[in-house]
Amino acid sequence: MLAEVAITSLRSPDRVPDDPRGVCSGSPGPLWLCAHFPDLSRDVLPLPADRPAAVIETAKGRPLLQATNIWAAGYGLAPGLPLSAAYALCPDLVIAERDPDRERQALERLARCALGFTPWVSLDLAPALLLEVRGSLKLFGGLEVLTSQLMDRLAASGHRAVCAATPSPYASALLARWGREAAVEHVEELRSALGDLPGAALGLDERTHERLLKAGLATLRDLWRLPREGLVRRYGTELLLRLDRAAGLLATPLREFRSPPCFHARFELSSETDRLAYFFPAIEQLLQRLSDFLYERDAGLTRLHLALEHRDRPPTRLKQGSRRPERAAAHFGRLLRERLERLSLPAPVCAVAVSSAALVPWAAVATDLFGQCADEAADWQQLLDQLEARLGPQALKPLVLRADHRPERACGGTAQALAAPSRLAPRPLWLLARPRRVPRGELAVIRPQPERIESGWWDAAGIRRDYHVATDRRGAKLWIYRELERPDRWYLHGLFG
Amino acid sequence: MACSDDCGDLDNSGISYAELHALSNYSFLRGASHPEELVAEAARLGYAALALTDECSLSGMVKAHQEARKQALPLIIGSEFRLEDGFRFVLLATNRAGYGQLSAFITLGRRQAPKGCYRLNREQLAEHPLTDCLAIWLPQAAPVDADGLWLAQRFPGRSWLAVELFLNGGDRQRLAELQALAGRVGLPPVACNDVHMHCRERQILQDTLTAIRLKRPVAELGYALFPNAERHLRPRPRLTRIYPAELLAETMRIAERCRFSLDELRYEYPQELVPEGHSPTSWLRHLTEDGLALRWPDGAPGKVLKQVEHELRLVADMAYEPFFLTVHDVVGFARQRGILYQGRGSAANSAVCYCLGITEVDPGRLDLLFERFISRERDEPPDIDVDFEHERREEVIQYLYRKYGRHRAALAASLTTYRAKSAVRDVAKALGLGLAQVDALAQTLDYWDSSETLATRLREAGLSPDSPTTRRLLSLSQALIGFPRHLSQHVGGFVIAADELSNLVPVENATMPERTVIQWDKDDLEALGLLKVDVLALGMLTAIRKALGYLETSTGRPWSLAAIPPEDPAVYAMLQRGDSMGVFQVESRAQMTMLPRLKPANYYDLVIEIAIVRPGPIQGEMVHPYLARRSGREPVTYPSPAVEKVLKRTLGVPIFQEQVMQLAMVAAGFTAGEADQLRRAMAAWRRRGELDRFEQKLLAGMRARGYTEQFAQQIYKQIRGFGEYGFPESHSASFALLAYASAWLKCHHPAAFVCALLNSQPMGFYAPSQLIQDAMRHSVEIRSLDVRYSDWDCTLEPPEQLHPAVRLGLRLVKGLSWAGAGRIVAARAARPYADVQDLSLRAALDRRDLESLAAADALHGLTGHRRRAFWEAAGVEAPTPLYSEPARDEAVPLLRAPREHEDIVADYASTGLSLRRHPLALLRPRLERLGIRTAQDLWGLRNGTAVRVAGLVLCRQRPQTAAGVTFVTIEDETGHVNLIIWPSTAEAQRKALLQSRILLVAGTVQQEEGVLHLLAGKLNDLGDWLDGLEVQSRDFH
Repeated sequence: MLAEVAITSLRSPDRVPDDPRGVCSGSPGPLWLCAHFPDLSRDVLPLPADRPAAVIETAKGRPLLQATNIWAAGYGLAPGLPLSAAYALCPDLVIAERDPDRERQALERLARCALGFTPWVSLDLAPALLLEVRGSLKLFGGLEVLTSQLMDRLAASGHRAVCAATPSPYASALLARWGREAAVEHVEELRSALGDLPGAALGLDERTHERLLKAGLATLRDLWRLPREGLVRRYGTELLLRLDRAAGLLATPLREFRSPPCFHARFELSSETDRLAYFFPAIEQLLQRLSDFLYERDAGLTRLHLALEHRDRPPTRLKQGSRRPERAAAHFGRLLRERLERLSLPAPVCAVAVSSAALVPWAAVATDLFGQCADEAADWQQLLDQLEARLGPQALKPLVLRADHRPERACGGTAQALAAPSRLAPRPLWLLARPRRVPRGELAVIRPQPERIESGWWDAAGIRRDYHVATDRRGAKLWIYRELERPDRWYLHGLFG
Repeated sequence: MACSDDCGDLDNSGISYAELHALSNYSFLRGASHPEELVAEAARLGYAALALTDECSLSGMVKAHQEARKQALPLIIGSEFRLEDGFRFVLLATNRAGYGQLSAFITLGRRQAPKGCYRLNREQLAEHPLTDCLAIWLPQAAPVDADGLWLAQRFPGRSWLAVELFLNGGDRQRLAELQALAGRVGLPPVACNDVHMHCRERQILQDTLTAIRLKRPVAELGYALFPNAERHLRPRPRLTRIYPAELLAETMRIAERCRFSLDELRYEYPQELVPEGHSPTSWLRHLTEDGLALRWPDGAPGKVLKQVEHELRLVADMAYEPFFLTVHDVVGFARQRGILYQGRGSAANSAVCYCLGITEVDPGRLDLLFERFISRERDEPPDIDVDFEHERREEVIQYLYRKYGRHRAALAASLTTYRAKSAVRDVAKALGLGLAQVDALAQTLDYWDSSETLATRLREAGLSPDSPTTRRLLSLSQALIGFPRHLSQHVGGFVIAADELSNLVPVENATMPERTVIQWDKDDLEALGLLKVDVLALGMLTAIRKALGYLETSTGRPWSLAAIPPEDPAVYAMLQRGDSMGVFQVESRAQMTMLPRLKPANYYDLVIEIAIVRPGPIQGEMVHPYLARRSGREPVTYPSPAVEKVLKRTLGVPIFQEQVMQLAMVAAGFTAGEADQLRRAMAAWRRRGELDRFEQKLLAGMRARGYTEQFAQQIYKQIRGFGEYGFPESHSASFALLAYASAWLKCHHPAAFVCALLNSQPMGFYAPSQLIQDAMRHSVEIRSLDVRYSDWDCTLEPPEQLHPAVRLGLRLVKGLSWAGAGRIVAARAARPYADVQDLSLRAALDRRDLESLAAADALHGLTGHRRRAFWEAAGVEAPTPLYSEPARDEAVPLLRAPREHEDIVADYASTGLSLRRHPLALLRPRLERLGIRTAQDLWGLRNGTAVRVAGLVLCRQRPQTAAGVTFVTIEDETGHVNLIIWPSTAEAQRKALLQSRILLVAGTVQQEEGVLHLLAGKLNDLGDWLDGLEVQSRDFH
């Protein structure tokens, strides 16, 4: 039996030194490539591409445009414009609120692409990626080639990047943010390369920026020309810090991006088989490895993928979810077995593979003295998982208790958030899926005081009805109603037990 | 309603019934009907009485009272309460004493809680005197016997148990339970209906209000909504099927015990203004006669004496003396303190008020309709508004509080109601529309909108007007518009009670701590005939007093309004040129263009000028006929001598609100009271229909008096056009006095005038920059801000000269603290400042103040150019306690001096004005090369010439009367150009129109009667020619 098991998790190289002294000593220091994504906030949102559209963000309590598309720009809409003004200029504007989560996710996806170009990537200066590329230059045949390949790769994932590379990560970011696709080899050249950038590029608070402008200090060159202590006294240390970082005099601390660990393992069977009893032990073995992998990282799993490979045809793939994070091999084993027992295979299986999908940090579960799970809810969840695995996900539906006056929308009982009326008139346990027209003559109303329900006008299923309790000829107790608009028509809606 | 059991609504054979528990929309976000709607519906259904019982409030009561008077339906005054322990009940007032108790109890609850809330507990209900009130217990789902026993003991023989049934399927059981409970606790059961709306169709709105109140979409509310629409005023036949007869009969026994009407509140006026031995009547006569002697030292003309007699008799008949005496007392205080004031309003312009010194409008000069404010037919008090200097009105208010005590005097409420924008926003949220959509919709309504354009706006916000949600949004918003939202303080309507105010009307907390507000607004007070004095603030009075003060310094003699020479031809000549910037009431763009056409040549022309440039006369199409007749292009004719008498002073064209009423009287036979109802109908925007009721009467009346159908239709059209915008001659007459006074100051003392205007900001139509530009065009020297010379206020240099220069004051510096400015001036008196460090030290200025001064270039005298000033100012550190003088030895780095346009841009950014060249002057060489003309050039061009001009955008307006036309004023270094932009032109160039700070316009010249407009075609934004320039345009006010 040949087993091939591969566990991958990205191993980081040692931290790249970002020490300017290292640069000065003559050896080529790190080179930082910044890939800035000017349209990230817009690209992650479902905005139309053929009409004016903008991303909005609330600042100081009022909505402002954060990004616009080309159509909107044609109407004179620009980032920073209040939404009200934007509507005055372009009444057909489509807007969406900025979504930092999606941006973060997109950036992480892009970072994983960037890992193909260098092992050292940082997301700290979002919405941009910083890549230390000195070590990769040779491999790619120079900065230019690397940059163009990187941009192609990023564009292929749907995001336009502006790239700049300098020995200072901060300087690279400033240039890229300002749309300068520059490459600076040496620290000494940084000042002249950045000199004509406006002070606003430093991203200081608005007030400081205004104060700089008032003294006529518009560009970084203007600032570099002034005495340092004078600047600090007037504008604080933060300004100097940023200037020094931009000039490569100070290191910019960056955190390394790590791709989240994932598990993939495959087991080739010694002979093809379509009998569960023969290939399931292989799965169990893989699950045990997975379980070890999870324990090592103190992680749990809410979904895993199983692939059953066949000769000459695509593998049979199964996704197995779990209601709460799990890491015990036995649990996944039980679930998979439940499903596999019901599965008819298109062909014999020649190999099995298990991979993790969504790793989550493990939340400790209290166990009692004997290692038994003391949390009954956990047991309950495991039971549900098992039921669902056996009956299929469509079969299991939560019993929804909705607060709604309309009987067909409410299943009686109480909702948590809103107090139910303390006395609801008796309702039948069984409601007809669709009320049925009944001839009034065959029924005897036994509760003459109606229950009038007029509600639900806000959706397409509003009702205005008088409900009565009646019996039919056989003595069955029925819940019937008539519409206020058509009082001559009676409908059967429910049966009392 | 096509519901079978609702048939026979109006069957009058049924039993008698009075509704004792009903909420209007003054129980904010609970009730879904106006009080008037409830009353009218109760009357229609043949109810014997209706109790309005808004939750801890009497705010809607006066509206209900007026409607009840009209419908002859007995209205019971009551209120619903919920104690902190959940106990709910209704209190009803049986008589005046009970009303006072109820009002005081509401006050108690409201004063203990933040604005808009109330808080009451069992103990307070036990102790508060409520001997003349009846109580009805509103039992919860599971009532406790103890509560009923407690109430029965607290209100012996005056308490009931409410039985309220709403077809929820368990009515019979509930009825039986409550009847048993009533027996156990000894409270008679009575039928009530917890009414939340006048008709069942309002359920949708009621659900929506609930959603707004609970701040959740209606679809998520579940059982928080009522299950059905039964909480409306149900027809009596239906009630007989729901309640046993004895429960319905019980309502009548309660209603019969409630005999109080709000009408009884009249004549509760303060007494202290009349000295011993005088009655109000004799004292008013005494004061009036004193005044007569003062105004006419040589004896008043007979006509005036006759008028005074007529007025005094009317006032005495209606017992309105306290109004006149109170206002007389207030203005007496102002006069004594040297606070400039002026009365206005129809009553203010009576001969009596002239004698009492309330106003300066000589009744001999005007033919005012005194009947308007007092007529025997209606019970409404006289209308006297008094304007005071806006910076000193607080002194007057404090005087009133001192004189009458805070327990007797309070500001009237101002009722905030739903407008199109707020209604759409709240309804959209209630319907669960996305935040972005709600915002989009509400934001677009910001711009020049009324409820009629709602559908267009919806479409623009991306909502299909035909979708069910949008239709719901529209209809619900329209129903919600006009609903009250909350009470706030009125700007100046003071109510003064004879004794405790809370005995008259409930008082509640306002937003500001220590401020209170009563539950009635001005209209309510007026409707009840309660004593109310309007103490208003007027910026122009402040400016005039300041200007007169400067004249006293320069001329060395005292100045007052009366000392201004009347009817000065030079003043009118100036106005006729449209040279009126800063002049009260006639400085707006529309007025400026009207002045050269109307050419006012005397006081009365000014009265007309002020009234004619209003939406009323414009919509009634009276402007052009008047101008045509005035210029002699059209003959002045009258359809009858009676009409001639009314319209003679306005050449046969009705311009004032009073004339419309008089026309209705002389031409259509209306009584004075009916004419006044007509006036009210004109003002009642909420119910357009009311005016139509008068149409038939008016037309029939005029036909009967032999007027042609055409004339009758024309008059009716004019009345409709007046709508709410008709301007009364009585106000115009008072305003014209101030307009003349300010015009005289501008004409003869432009420096003092502009200085006074600058020191009274914010006020008026124009920003300081435009006022200063205007003054400079009138050869006034304006001196720049300078920390070495400027005071907080703008000053005249030298003050004793007749034509001094104006030194700009530190108040114009954005960001400079008032205290800091004070220290600058104080420390400067000792010795001049040597440098910035000296200044910062001696005036104890922090960096913020110094940087503000640097930004305004007020340090140029100490440092040179403003960038150096800024560098130095920024370097100042707060003195530490150890070292009094922080050591600073640093070289000043080389900073490039700003270029001229940079300085101009910085000037505007800090002070909103610049004394350097006009920004357009900088661009002129470039503009000239492109063949772009100046504002001055346009006057030399022929009508219809195509031309291009460029200027700073000063204001953008789109008046509702102008059918979508946008008016824009631009300014270059030579003057202003008024642009007319047709809707299609504007629509196609929104961006340039709305965003330009410097606008290049291609257009055609239109010149007529001394007025010049440019009909705009292509618009271009030249903003990037002067980078960073920030000019505040006054947009769409």
